[in-house]
Amino acid sequence: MHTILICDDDKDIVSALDIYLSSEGYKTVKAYNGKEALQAVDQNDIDLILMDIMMPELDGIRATAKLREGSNVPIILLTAKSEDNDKILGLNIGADDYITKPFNPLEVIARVKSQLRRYTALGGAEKAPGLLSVGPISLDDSAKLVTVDGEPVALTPIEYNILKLLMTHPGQVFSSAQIYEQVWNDPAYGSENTVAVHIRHLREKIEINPAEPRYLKVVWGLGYKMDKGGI
Amino acid sequence: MGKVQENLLVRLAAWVLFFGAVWGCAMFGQQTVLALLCANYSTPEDSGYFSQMLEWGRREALEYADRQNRLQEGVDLGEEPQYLSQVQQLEEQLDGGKTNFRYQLLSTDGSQILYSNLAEGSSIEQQVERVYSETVEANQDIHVQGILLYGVVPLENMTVQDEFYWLLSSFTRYQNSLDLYLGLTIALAAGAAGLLLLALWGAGHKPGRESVTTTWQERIPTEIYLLLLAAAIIMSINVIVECLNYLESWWEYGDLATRQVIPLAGAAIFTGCAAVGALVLRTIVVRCKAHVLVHTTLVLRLIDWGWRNVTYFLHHLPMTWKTALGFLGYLGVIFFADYWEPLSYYRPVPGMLVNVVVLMGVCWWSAGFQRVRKGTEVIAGGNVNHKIDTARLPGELKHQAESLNNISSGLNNAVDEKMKSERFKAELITNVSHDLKTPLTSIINYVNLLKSTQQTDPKAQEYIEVLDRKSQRLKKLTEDLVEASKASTGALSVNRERIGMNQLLSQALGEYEEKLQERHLTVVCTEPEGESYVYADGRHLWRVIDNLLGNCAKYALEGTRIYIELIRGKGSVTLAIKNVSREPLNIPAERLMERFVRGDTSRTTEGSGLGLSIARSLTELQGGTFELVVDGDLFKALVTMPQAS
Repeated sequence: MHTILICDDDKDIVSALDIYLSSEGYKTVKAYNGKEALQAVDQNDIDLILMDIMMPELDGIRATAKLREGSNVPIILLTAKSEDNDKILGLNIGADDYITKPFNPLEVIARVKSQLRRYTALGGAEKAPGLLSVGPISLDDSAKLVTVDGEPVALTPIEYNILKLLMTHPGQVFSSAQIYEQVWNDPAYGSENTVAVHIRHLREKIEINPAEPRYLKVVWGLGYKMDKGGI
Repeated sequence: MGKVQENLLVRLAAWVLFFGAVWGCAMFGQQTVLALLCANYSTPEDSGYFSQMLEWGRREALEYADRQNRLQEGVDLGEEPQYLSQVQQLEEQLDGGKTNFRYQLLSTDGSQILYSNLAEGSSIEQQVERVYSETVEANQDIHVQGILLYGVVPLENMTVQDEFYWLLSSFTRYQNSLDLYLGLTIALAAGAAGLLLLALWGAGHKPGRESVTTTWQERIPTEIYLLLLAAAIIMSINVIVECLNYLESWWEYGDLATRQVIPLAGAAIFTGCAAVGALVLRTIVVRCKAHVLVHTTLVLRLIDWGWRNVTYFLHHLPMTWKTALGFLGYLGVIFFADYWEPLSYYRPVPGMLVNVVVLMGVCWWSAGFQRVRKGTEVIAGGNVNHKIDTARLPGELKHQAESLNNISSGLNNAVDEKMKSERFKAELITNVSHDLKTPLTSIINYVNLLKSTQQTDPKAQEYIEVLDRKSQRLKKLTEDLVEASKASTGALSVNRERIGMNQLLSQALGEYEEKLQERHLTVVCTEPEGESYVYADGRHLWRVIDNLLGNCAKYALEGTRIYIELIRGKGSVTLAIKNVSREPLNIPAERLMERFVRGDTSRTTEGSGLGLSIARSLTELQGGTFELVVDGDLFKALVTMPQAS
């Protein structure tokens, strides 16, 4: 039973999120600006904070910075600002994730779950040998098992091999041809489209929002890579 | 100074003194001329006038003797009284108390004095310095026989003021005063000139008026004045020439009265001429001061009119004609320089000089043209603030450069205005879409909540479906709107790098494979051997292709083929995407790229109408070109990016 602080100056959004999160079994605390959020954190035992950026009195960025002075509670920013700069600023100031408005409530719940799992259940990840992990994604090559935030994901052998290739070299960009040659063990003769399709399927399975992947990224015109940063 | 210039009294005095000076100048000028004439003779006795007077005296003396002899010889009774009166008259004229002429008529042997006007007992040698003698033979006309001795009393012994006295005394005076007369003449002439300048300086200025005032005199055409002046000058020159011709004879043979009138008449004529001249000069000066000389002079007006017409004509002549005329003129000048008699002697020097001048002119023109062309290139290169320096440019080029400068400043204003309005629009769109997002979030959330409630009425479920679809559509629309405004105003950051077009295309096709399959669209891809590298921002280029493929998925006729072609051109790579439209495309390609324009005018499909606008803006932002071709139902998009080595 986790307590989630919902902080947004738009009351309808707060109550909508309240309904979703309550239906998922979370306890919620509501706040309507940054100051109230800080008070609520003082008064309650909060496990996760959903925070809007543009708020009166004290905005989300400042409130996050204040909270980070004495707490490592997961903070997810809700923002109408979709510019990259705002995301980067929010994450640098201490937020753990962000969701842009208008958001899909299911994505919010998925992200909340993901953050809570990492915060409570997984704790600091102790690395087992033979275990590859990038962000919330873990690949156990001995068990041929892939988990995201501890939840197992079902992959086809090709998808598994692609993911393994990318996760063994995090940050490195592989072109479609390279992936094809290494995974299929065949020279690539215009079969790159197949790689793209498989990658997209893979993305849909391991990313919360496949349209905006955080980890399995497309480097347009160059190839694909596994990104540790998570932005 | 202005006060003096305006003072009526000063001006009047100047005019009066001017005429006085002219008059004096004329008078003394004539005296000088006479004095110069006198200077030709060493003694007054050498002058013709003196000898004429002497001749008159001689004739009178002979006539007297003749009449006396005739009376003694006896004449007709009828003629006697006439002779007697003549004798009496001559005796009076020759009386020693009335004339300085002295004579003695001696008998042929010289023994006795027949007639004389000398005092008793005095000899002619005593009284007269220079004695003329003549032997007179009696003939039919003169009944006198003997020796005539005659002469004139010297000036210092003269007792009577007759013509001899006047002649001798004035002769001495002239000879002594030549320098004085000459000096006075020059001084008065200088004075007159000075006074004329003073009078002209003040002419046309009236007290209390800033500007020059013109009178009726200035309304008469200048030519009439000039004719007047010419007539006066011709007349006076005539008179002076005549005077010079006759002056000497009048002076020498005229009587006293004539001699006294001559200088007065001369001075009057001269002064009259000077008056006319001064009047003409005055009106011309006033016209010049009032800047109406050209306007009030018929000839100048005619010349001015003609000149203006000619320059207007030349100015409005087409360049071709001007060039042709210029060349003909050049040929004429060269011919003139080479073959005209006085110049052809120095051939080929004058022709070469002309050619050097023409070459310099052509160089000047070329240098000017070069300057204008460089300026034009700078403006064409995008620096609309650039101004071409029009100083020392040939006329035609100056005109051209000024026009270009006007264009550039007009363009500059237009660009500034456009930039401002675009920025304002982008800001507005960003703000509005931001404000739209917050309520939209609530809508999407509550629609989702509605969906999760148990709706027993199938109609309610249908309505919720519509709400869901439309809210998702609205979400996409606001996102596209922000992106379109950012892309079109260049507010996006562009990180260009070397990327593979084939790679990007296969990635994109991978993303779209299922969507296209859903609509039974087959992709036919033609790529050249090997990777085609372009210089672009991968994310933006993906967005372009994303939009184009999205359009294919949305608008292509089901069951058709989509042709995708990669073409490597010179320094560029072109991606062509062709598909057959489901709806007839009755909109020109240019319009399709505008914001909110869609192929289906009913706007029932899911697009925002911003896809092509975004695609074009993003392509141009990366330095590429975006082109659309609509041929019937065939829709073709061409994205050209600079090739990377």
